[in-house]
Amino acid sequence: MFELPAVQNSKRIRTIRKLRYQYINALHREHAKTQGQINADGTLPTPENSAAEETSDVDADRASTLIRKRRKRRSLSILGCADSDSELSDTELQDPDAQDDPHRHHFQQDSEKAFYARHEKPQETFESWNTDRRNAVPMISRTISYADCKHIERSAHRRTIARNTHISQAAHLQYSAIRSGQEVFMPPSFGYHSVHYHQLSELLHLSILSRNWENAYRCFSVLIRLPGIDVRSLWGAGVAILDALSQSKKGIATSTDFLGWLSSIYTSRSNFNHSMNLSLDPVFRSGSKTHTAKFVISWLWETLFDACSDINLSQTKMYDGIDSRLPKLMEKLSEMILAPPYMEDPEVWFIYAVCHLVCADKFSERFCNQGDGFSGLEKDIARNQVVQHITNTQNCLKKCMVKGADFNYPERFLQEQLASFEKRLYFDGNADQSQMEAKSSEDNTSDSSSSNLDTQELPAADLSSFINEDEDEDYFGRSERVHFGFDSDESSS
Amino acid sequence: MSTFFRGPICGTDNCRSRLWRIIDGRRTCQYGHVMEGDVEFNDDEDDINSMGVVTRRLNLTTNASGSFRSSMNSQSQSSQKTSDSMKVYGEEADRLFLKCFQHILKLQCRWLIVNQKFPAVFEEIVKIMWMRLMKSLGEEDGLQPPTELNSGRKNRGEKRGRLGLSLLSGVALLYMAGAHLRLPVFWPDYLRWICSLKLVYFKANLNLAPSYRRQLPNYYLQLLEGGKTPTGVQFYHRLANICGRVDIYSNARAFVTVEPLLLKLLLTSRLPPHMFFYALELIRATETVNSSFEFQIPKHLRSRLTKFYEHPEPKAAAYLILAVRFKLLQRDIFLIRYCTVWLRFAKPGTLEDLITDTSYGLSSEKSWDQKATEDYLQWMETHFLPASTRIEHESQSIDQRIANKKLHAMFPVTGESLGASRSDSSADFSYINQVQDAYLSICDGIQHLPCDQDLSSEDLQTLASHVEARLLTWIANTLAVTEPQLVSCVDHLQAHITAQKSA
Repeated sequence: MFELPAVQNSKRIRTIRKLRYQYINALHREHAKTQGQINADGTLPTPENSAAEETSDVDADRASTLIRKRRKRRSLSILGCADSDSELSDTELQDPDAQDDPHRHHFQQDSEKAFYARHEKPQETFESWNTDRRNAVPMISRTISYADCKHIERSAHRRTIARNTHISQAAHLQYSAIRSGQEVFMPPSFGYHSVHYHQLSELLHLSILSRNWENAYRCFSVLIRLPGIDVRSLWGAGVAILDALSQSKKGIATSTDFLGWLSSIYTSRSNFNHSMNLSLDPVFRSGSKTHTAKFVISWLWETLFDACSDINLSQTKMYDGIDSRLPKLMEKLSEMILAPPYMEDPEVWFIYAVCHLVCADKFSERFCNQGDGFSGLEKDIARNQVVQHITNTQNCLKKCMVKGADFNYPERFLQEQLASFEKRLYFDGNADQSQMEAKSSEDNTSDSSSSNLDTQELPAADLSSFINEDEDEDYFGRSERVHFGFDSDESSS
Repeated sequence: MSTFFRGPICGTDNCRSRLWRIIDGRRTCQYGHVMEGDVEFNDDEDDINSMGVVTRRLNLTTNASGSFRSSMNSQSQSSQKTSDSMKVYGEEADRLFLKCFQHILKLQCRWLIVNQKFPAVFEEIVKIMWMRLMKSLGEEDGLQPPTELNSGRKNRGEKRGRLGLSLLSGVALLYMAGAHLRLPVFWPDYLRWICSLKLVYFKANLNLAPSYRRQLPNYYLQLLEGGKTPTGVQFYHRLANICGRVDIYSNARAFVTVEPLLLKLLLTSRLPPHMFFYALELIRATETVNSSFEFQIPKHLRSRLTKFYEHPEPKAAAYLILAVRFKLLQRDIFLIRYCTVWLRFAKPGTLEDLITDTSYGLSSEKSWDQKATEDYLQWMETHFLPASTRIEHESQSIDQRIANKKLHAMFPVTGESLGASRSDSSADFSYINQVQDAYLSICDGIQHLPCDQDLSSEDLQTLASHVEARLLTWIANTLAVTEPQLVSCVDHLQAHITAQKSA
């Protein structure tokens, strides 16, 4: 009933996959031939034309998109977003419909790669929901005659079988099933050990469903010790079990520890190759150079929540009386965002931004509380700290916007928060402080819902001043912030 | 010479290569065509001091223990490892395989003697049988004169296969030795020990010495893996085959005493003890056997087992089933009342039965109650897990081992301490108690049954068929044969009996 979290890699699976993709590719090629899409000349490629094939083979549609992209890049570079053009070229490579040239098949040995060059890879569309109607493409409703279809099938079959004369009977059987449009159900192995593996994994899932955490824990603890089981495909269950049990049961770890272990053991430096990892977990669960593993993301969130909560603050996590959990997380994040895949993941940037936001909140609050105790210089330093964090938040949010178009977050709300933090810095006098804070918190709670809807609510000038602040700082100095007018004298001193 | 990188199609003489490398500054394709007009000059200022010294950048990473290791270094090491394989093949491999097989046989004997209180002479008997088997192997091997080398080799290659041995042959040897010593141990017992991983069978190759395992070719290792759970038919076939090869008939007792088997079948299916005597009576009336009720183990050397009903164990089971049927149709009042209640109870079973059924995919966790689940998990932790992870640490690098240790510390196994305290003797008592309870509850049920129960002949027949269907299922599970096989066995016996009666 449930998927077995084990790595299956047998020659039979490999052969059948190869056959399937070879056949599909052959079909595609034959079909393209009948549709007249393929070049009729059929000359052998020479260094010149093969090097130029990227540009010469494209049809008009593709050329126009290329030109549009180049234009966009040019205009962006004029606007000053120079760093984004590398990013644009990346998307160009990954563009799924961009590589529709049938010439590739001659050269690509790996038929699966050839197949995926024409289609979207599953990991690229994972959890990205394209519900926008503007992106909708009308279905292709061309028809071909039955005779043509049969002809295509026959010649594709001939092509495929010519390359695979010596395949096993089982593979041949499966191939003919695929040809007739059927899928062969491969029953789970009846080997003694795999039967019990299955039994155990089913028991695990059923216990989780019935919230029998003790049994689930026992299943899990046995399962992860068995050879051939990949923890990465089970971690969700493990986290759920630990969440339920770590409070009551002694001697077991917390879910944060477990996620931390996963993130530290399974690197994301490797390239994920579909043809190598046959029944391994999909890339969006196990992570690769292009995809952040989900357990890393959940670990970051969990750690962040953990760092923000005041409970279970043990003595070991304190350093000189200061809670060191958040700085540790930020240090980790600052390392992570230097390399792919985290560099390209908007969610990681967003988490980093939230970290800075929390820091800014903490420091500005402390500044308010201890404002009178500081001397002029100390006050300046403390204020700078807050400003730095606010600036970093802005930067990270900007990165986040750039990296992911699909990633949504309440931007206006965050900007308001930042504004309120900054207000604290330039607000003088203890009397009004509590009132001010109450007001700001009230703003946050009451306005957040409405501000999402009403774009006119916040004065545009305010917002722009905040956003541009970090860039304009050098030119305008502190005078820009006179805008708030609370204590401009002190800031300049 | 540098590594290959992708580039444009080469095209010289229709060369399809797209992979290029730099040889002496020239871009050269995979098949040695040199690209024209592409020469790489070494513009870098060569340091006089380091002339002739290759500077190479190593990607250094630290491993778990903190020491440096370079990625290149590890790659070259791993490639070396695969190149010098330790495997042996041919005659030497056969000899090694026999050694390994013998070792496993020895382990099995030792476990039986220590844990199941087999007599110490059991090992000797198995040894003698094993020696006879080896002798027969040698004869089959054809110690042919070397003059006709060609035909001899061909012949041998066809005949020998993988020496015709499997782990099941080992069990057959044990069974034969047990039959010779008149031990009340039968195939269902062996099967249960195998499936609950008490008797070394599945992944037996993990018990070998590492040096043996490294040298043994993969096909032999696979043979010692166990694979699927063996079925009864496979076992009986193998048994008959080995009996023929060892020539047990001239040297040892090739008879199976059926009385203990009948008793065991009765107890596992919770039938009334009267049935034991009825079944014996039926056997005495049908067969021309002496007083000790012994059936001979048939021998055959064919490749397929055809006469399944000739084997003592299915035969005895068929006698029992027939006895129950006849007695019910005879309107034995007690038996009718007993069976009416008996049909209400679910299948009784020990943990070993549960595991065996699970191994055949006959039982799944959906039908288990909490107790069964806990028992199963307990068994998983105490038996299955240690047996499957026996040599795992050998194949792991130090990094993996440390990482796994950390992971396992996060999820400690709970049952380890519990399982050690539970001894085997208590399990035996619990089995007896279980049987007692089951019989008592059936007796209870009979007393609550209304006394004046008059069954019509149709009702009686339905009752008999219900009982028989249930018995067939249970006994087929116990013997690990399919139901149709057992049915054919019963049918054959019935035909035999009617033929005898008419004669």
